Amino acid sequence: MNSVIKNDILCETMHFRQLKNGLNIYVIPKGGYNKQFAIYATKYGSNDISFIVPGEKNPTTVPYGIAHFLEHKLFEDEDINVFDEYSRLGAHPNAFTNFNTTAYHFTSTDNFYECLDILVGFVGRPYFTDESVEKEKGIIAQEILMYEDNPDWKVFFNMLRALYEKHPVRNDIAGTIESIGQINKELLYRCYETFYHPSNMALFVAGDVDPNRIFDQVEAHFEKGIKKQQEIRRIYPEEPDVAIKEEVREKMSVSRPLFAIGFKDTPVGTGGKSLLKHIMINDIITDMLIGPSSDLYNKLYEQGLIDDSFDCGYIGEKDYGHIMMSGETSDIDRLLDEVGRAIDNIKNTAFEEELFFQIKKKKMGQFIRNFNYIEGMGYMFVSLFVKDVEIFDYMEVLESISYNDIHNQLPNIFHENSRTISIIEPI
Amino acid sequence: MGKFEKLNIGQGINLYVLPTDKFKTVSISYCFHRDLDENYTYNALIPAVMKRGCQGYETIRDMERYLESQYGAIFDVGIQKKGERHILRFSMDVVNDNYIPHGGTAVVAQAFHFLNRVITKPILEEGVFKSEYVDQEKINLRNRIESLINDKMSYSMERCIQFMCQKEKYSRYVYGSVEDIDKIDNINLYDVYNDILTTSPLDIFVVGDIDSTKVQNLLEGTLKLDRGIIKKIPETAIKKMGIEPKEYIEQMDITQGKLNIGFRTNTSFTEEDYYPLVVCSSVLGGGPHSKLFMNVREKASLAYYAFSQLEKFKGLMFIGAGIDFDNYDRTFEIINAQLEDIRNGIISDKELDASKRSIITALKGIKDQPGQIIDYYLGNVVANTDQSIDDFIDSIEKVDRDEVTRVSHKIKLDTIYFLRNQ
Repeated sequence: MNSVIKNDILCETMHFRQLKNGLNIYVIPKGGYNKQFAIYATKYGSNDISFIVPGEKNPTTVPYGIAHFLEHKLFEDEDINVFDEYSRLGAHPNAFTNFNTTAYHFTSTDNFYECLDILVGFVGRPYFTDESVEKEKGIIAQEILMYEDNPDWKVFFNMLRALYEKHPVRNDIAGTIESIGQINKELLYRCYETFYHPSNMALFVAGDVDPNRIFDQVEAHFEKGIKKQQEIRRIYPEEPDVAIKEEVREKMSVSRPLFAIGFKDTPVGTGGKSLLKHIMINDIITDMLIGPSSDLYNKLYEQGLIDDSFDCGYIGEKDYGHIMMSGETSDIDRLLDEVGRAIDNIKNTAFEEELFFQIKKKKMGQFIRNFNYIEGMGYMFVSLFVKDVEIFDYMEVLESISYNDIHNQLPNIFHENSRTISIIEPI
Repeated sequence: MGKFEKLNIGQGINLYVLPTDKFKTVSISYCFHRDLDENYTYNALIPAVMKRGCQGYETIRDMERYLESQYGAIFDVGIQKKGERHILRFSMDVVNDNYIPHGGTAVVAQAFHFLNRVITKPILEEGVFKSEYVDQEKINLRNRIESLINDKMSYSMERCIQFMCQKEKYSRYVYGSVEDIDKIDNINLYDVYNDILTTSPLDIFVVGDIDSTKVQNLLEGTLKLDRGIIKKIPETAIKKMGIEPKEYIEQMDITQGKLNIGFRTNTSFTEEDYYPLVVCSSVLGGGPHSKLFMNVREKASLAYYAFSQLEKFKGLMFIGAGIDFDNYDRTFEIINAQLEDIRNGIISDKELDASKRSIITALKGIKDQPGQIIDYYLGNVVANTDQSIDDFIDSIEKVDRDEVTRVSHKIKLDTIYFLRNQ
């Protein structure tokens, strides 16, 4: 199945093919660009700890950090050294794992089609040995320790652990030194077989490339007759609507307190346009409340309660969502007071309507800007793919948001006990 | 994509315009050049004060509301260190009028007006900077300097530089020093601001779907600067011989040790030797193809990251790795052995070729990002050279093993810095 989708405002065209095995391939040609970027992603991240393998009855539960471990280990191949192969062609490969996704990508300027073969090849060819699994534990332990010393990371995960009681998003993506200790090659193969089926994956390419050549070349990598996979059931424990802790503090070697305030949302439960719309509504709410053009931001800045380090936004997936506000402050109590008062205020008196239209304009500009940068397009694509959203739907969904949508969502996100605060204090 | 059109528009102001329809944005960057002299903390503070507001847009709120209405125009200010030079940067990145839904609104033209206004019409009281803004930005700057400690990777690198260059201007931290902040007030800061506007070389870079005539027209009449005698920025000191390597160990309450090693390359960005030096650093620690990645990470499992990078304007090379405290000696030995191998010509065809390919990919990629294009040509201005990206690529292609080995002998160990637990 092939299709071509044009977007006249962006002046971009997306070419699409779905293979018989269920793999979706998307290509946005970018004439005049020197770089090509390919990203190959699976809907599989650190949250997928408990699941029912298609065809089985009983749930499987695996150690924390296994998706990330698998990402590291897939680069190992029986016959070739993946890094060597890419290096020979001058490409810059990398990979990442987050809560919901594992993605492998490369940037090339020459030899794109050869690089694409390497990518689709090694991701499709797991090869784990007891010895190599053991050796990787040393490298990942250093990665975990690196994050242990990172206060931004700590303040963020402490906030998640205070917001969520059971949902796996409260666990570190790389797991712990203890949990990765339990990983072995059998578990890795089991997770691989479950989550790396083509039906659960997508390939996205941007650059000055030929879409049909990409489609045919990728198709040739797969044996004929692979059927689409049945749905993988992912098991998440029942999660309360309220934050489980009001506050969490930890001491680290920092110059002054770091904070992350979280507001727990009721999840949408599904993906697609409704999830995207929900995310945008909450993003706009956050911006209107405390973005740089808001009265609150200016007040806090002028009182010295926040500075340039301040950041805010909404993070949402099918099964969880929250607003986060973070930065450094010299007076967390006063900051919380002011934020609380501003929230009460907007619940009683409406947001300024003009500001709403202005922020929508800003969001539109931000989206258009993404198409300048081919790696950025790829990352955005993947983040929308796990939400079952098509990239070009973005503008339509943004246009569809009304001023009333904003006010209808306010009580859902700023309800009683939805808030938590995480603080990292100097030693 | 063509080349930058360079126009001297008088009084030490150069305009660089790269007309291209490749991007959906127009990127504009005003760069004022300063010596990294004793006034460096002033340089760091001035952009922060100017970001607070200008006549017509007197608060952050006013400015942000204006930027939002321009389809999320991005306005930013900053301070950069390139060698022993400080660059104050005022930039704007706007969506090109063609891509704006429901008809264009002259966003690009307004962007120049806005930037010119920010630069030339700051908010004043009694003829000097508004004290409220200065006082608050002094606090913010102090916090920013002190917060370096939060990021252990950057902190350990900066400490390594401070020890290594302690008698040189280069040791000055890009955001200034806490001690200097106390000496600054709204009056003396305003004097330095005026000195910058009057005497600092200014480069204006523009990348996007716009030509130089149009840019000139937009600047004329709105960028009114009272220029005096333009200062010549001293060259960065590069060569240093007869170094006794020194070791510094500091302690902090942390879980992973940070090893940073500083070298003098004794090679400037404008010398022919610079090309083999770039290849040399890449063979050593420029990515997954490198000796550090293969030996420190893949073979010995000592680190998640181990890299080598150049500071091209000052002629320095730094190695960084995050390791267990107990592995300090072992890691240092392995790192040293890699550099020794390069010095002995033990560089495989595969390593040499992969390094060159990797550098060339990065160079070609610059052309796909407006910000990187501007930064590359700003670097040319700083080094007083005029080398296109394509020429650079050709020069890298020609580098051979013997040249890499030869320049590796010019690289001298200067400082070993280790941040460990208490």
